[in-house]
Amino acid sequence: MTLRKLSLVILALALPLIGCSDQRIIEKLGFIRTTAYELAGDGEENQGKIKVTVSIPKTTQKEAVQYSAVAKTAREARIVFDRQNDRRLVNGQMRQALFGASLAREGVWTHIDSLMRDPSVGNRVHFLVVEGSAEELLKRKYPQGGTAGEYIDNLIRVETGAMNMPDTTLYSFARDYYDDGIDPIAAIIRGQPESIIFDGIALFERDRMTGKVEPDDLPYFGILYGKVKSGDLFVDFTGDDYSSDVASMLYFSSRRKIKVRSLPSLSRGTGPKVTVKVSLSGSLLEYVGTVEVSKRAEQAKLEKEIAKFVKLRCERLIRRMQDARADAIGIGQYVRNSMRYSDWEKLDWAETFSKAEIDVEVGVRIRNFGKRQ
Amino acid sequence: MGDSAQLDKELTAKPTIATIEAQFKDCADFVKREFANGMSVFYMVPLTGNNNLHRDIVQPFADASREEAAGILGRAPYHRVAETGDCVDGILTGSAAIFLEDYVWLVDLSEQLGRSIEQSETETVIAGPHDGFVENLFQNVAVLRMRVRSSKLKTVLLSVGEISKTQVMIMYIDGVVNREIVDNLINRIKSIEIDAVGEGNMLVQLIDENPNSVFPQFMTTERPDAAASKLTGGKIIGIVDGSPSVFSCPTAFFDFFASPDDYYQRWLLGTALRLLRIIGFVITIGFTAFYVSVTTFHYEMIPHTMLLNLTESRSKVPFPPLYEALLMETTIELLREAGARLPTKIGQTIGIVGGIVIGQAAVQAGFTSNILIIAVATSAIASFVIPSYIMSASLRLIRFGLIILAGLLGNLGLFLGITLMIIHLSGITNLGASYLTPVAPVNFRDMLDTFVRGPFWALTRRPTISRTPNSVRVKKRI
Repeated sequence: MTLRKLSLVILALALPLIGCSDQRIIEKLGFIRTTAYELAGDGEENQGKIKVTVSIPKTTQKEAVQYSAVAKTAREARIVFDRQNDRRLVNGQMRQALFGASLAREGVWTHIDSLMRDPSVGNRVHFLVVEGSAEELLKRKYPQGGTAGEYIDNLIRVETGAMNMPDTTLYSFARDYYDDGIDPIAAIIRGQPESIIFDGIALFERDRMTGKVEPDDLPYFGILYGKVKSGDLFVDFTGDDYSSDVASMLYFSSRRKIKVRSLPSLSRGTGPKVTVKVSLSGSLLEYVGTVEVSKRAEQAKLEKEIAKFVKLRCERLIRRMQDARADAIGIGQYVRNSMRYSDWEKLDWAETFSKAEIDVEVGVRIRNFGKRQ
Repeated sequence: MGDSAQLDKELTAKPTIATIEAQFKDCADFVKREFANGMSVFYMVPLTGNNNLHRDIVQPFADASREEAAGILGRAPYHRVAETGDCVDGILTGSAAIFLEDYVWLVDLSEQLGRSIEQSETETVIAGPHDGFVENLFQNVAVLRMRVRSSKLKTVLLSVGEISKTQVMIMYIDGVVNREIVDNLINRIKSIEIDAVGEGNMLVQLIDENPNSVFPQFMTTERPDAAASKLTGGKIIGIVDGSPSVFSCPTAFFDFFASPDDYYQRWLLGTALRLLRIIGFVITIGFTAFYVSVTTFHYEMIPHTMLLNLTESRSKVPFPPLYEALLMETTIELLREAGARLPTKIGQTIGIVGGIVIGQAAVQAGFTSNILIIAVATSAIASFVIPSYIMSASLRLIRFGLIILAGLLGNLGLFLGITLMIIHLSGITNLGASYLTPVAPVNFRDMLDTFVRGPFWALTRRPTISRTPNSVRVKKRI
C-alpha cells in the first residue's frame, strides 16, 4: 500500500473519532435574544452583584421565556438559567445587550469584555442603555406584537436609520472605548406602559455613562457626529432674534470638518481651541414666517437664520458633552493628529476636553423648497 | 484451444469452401446457395437485404453461364479477396462471398438496421437542430460529414473487443488537431484488451487515465451539432458502433456545463445560462450538506426569524439532521431511479407519489422538516440543470459524501470535502490535458468560453486544451 493510500485510510478511520461534543442541533437549543444587566439593588447580600435577565423567544415568535438571577457575572447567572431551562442556552443569536442606566453609570466594560470574548456573540449585537427596569421592560407585552426583543431590534434599526445615527453595537462601543480620541455612545431606551421609546443617546467617559443627549438634540448630535446623508431637521425659532417662526428641513445632508486652531498646553493648563465646521443642505418643506422663500435673496436670509439657530444648539450640545467629560464626536482624534504623540500621551484628554474652547460654524444651503416652486 | 488455433492459422490462408463452412459451423442464419453454373454463394441472412440479394446475386447469375458469370464478377461492385480472414469479416458485415472456380469475390449486400435519426432523449434543446446520433456507426459518420463538409475531416477505423469486434471511428480535422493526441488516443484504443465493448461511455472508461475517479473524463454527447463544434475546436471525436454516445477529447471539467444551445442564444443569455449552471453545480453538491451543517453546528448563521420556524419544524423530527438528510436524499434518489426505469406512461405516477406523498406527508407525519424538503428538492432540481447526465450523476454521489462530512464536522467538514474534491479534480488529466483547464492552468481567453459564453467577436481562438497547431479561429478579427 502506498503511503498516500495508507494516509487516506488512517484519515477515514479517524473520522468517527472526531467527536460530536460541540454539536448544537437547533431544536435542542434555547436562543437568548436579549441579555439585560442591571444593578442588583441595595442590601448587604447584593454587594458587587448584578441582576442578569435573559429573554428566549419561543418558536411561536409571540412569546418569550424569561429568566432573572442575581449573580456576580453573566456567566454565573447562566448556570442558574441552565438549571431551569429545558434546552441548552446559547448566545449565538443574541441581538441586544441591555444595560440599566444605574449600572452604566458605574461602568460596563467588564461585562462587554466578557461578551466580546465569547466567539458565538457577534460584533453587531446592539448595545443599549435602559432607563428604568430592564427586567420589567422585557416582561411586558406590547401591542406592537412580537416579543420585546424583536420590538427593540426593529425600533433601534428604524430609529438609528432615520436619525442617521450609527447603530450602537458592541463593536462600535469597543472600537470607541479603545480609541483614546473618542468616547463611546449608546442608544437609550425607556419602557412606557404601551411602548418602548427611543430616548436619546448615552454619553460615556471611558466605560462610565456620564451624560445624555436629549431626544430633541439628536439631529444636532448627528450633524456633529459625522456625515449625515438624509436627515430631518425641525427648527423652532424662538425669541425676537429671528424673523421666522418655524422651518423644517427635510432630506438634509451635512458634512462636518474639525479644525484644531490651537493645541492644548500642559504647562499653561489651557485647553485646545477647536472649530467644528458644518455645512448643511436640504429641502425646505415647511416654513412659517415672513421670509419669501421663493426668492433666492430672501432665502439667503433664512439660511443665515437657520445657521445661527443650528450653531447655538450645537454649541449647547457640545457644552453638555464637555460637562459630561465625554468626547462622543471624536474631537480628540483631530487634536491627537495635530500634535506629537508623546505630548498627547501626557494629556488627560477627558479633562482637557472639558476645558476646550469649541465653537461651531454652520453654513446652510436651501437646495429647494418643495414641490410647489 | 487446438481447434481455435487451427482456425486462426487458416485465417491468413486462401479461402476455400471447406474453411468457410467450418468457420460458420452451427450458425443457423448462415446460408449457402449453389448455382447451376458452379457458383457457390455464402451469406448471413439477417445481415443482408432481400433487394440487394436479388439485385446483385439472383438476377445477374441465375441464368448466367460460367463464362458470363466470370465476366460479371470482374466488374464492380464485386471484388476479389485472397484471405480467409477477410472473407469471414466480409460475411460478418453483411457481404456475400461468391466462390467460382478457385477464386472468391465479395459483394456488399448489407442493409442498414436500426432506428432512424431522431431527437436525443437525454440532451434536448429548445432551439437548435433536433437530430441526434443513432446506433449505426456509418449513419453517425454521415451526419457529421454533412455538418463538416471538408476533406480535412479524417477518419480512422479501429476495432475493439476480442469477440464483439466493435468498430470505433476516430474523427478529427487535419491541420487543426494535435497529431500527438490523436496517436495517443489511437494507441490507447488499440491496446484495450476486452472481449466486448457495447457503448461509447463504456469504451471511454477503458481508456481514461483515472479509472477510479468519480468524475467522467471524456465528454460524451448524443448531439451531432455539439460533436461538430468539438471537431472544429481542434478536438477528437470517437464514435463507437452500436452506441449513440459520441465521445470527444481532450475534455475539461467545465465542458460538461456547456450546452450547444448556449451558442444559439444571444451571448448575454448564453452567459446567464452558463452562470446558472455553475450555481446549479454549487447547489447540487452543497445545499443539503449546508443545511445539515448549519442545523447541527452553526445555529448562529441562520437568520433569527427563520431559525424559530426551523426549530418549530425540526422539533417534531425524531432524527438528527444528518440522518434526516440522508433519509430524504435516498428517497429522492429512489424516486429518480424509479422514474428512469419505468416506462413513461407509468412514470407519471412517480411524480404524483413523490411530490404529494413524500413531500407533503413526510412533513406532516413529523418525518422531516419542511425546510429540508426544500433543500433536497432544490438540489435535485439543480442537478438536472447540468447538461451532461453522466456528470450530474457523479455530482449527486459526491453530495452524499459532503452531507456525511457536514454532519460530522459542520462547515469545517463541508469545506474539507470541497477541498478534497478540488484537489482530486486538479489531479485528473485527460489525454495529458489538465481537467481543470482553464482554471488550472489559468487562461483568461479560454474562460471567455467557459464560465461565460463570450460574444462571437471575442471567441477568435480555439480552446488551448486541444493544444492545436492552428489556434486562430477567425483571422480577420485578430
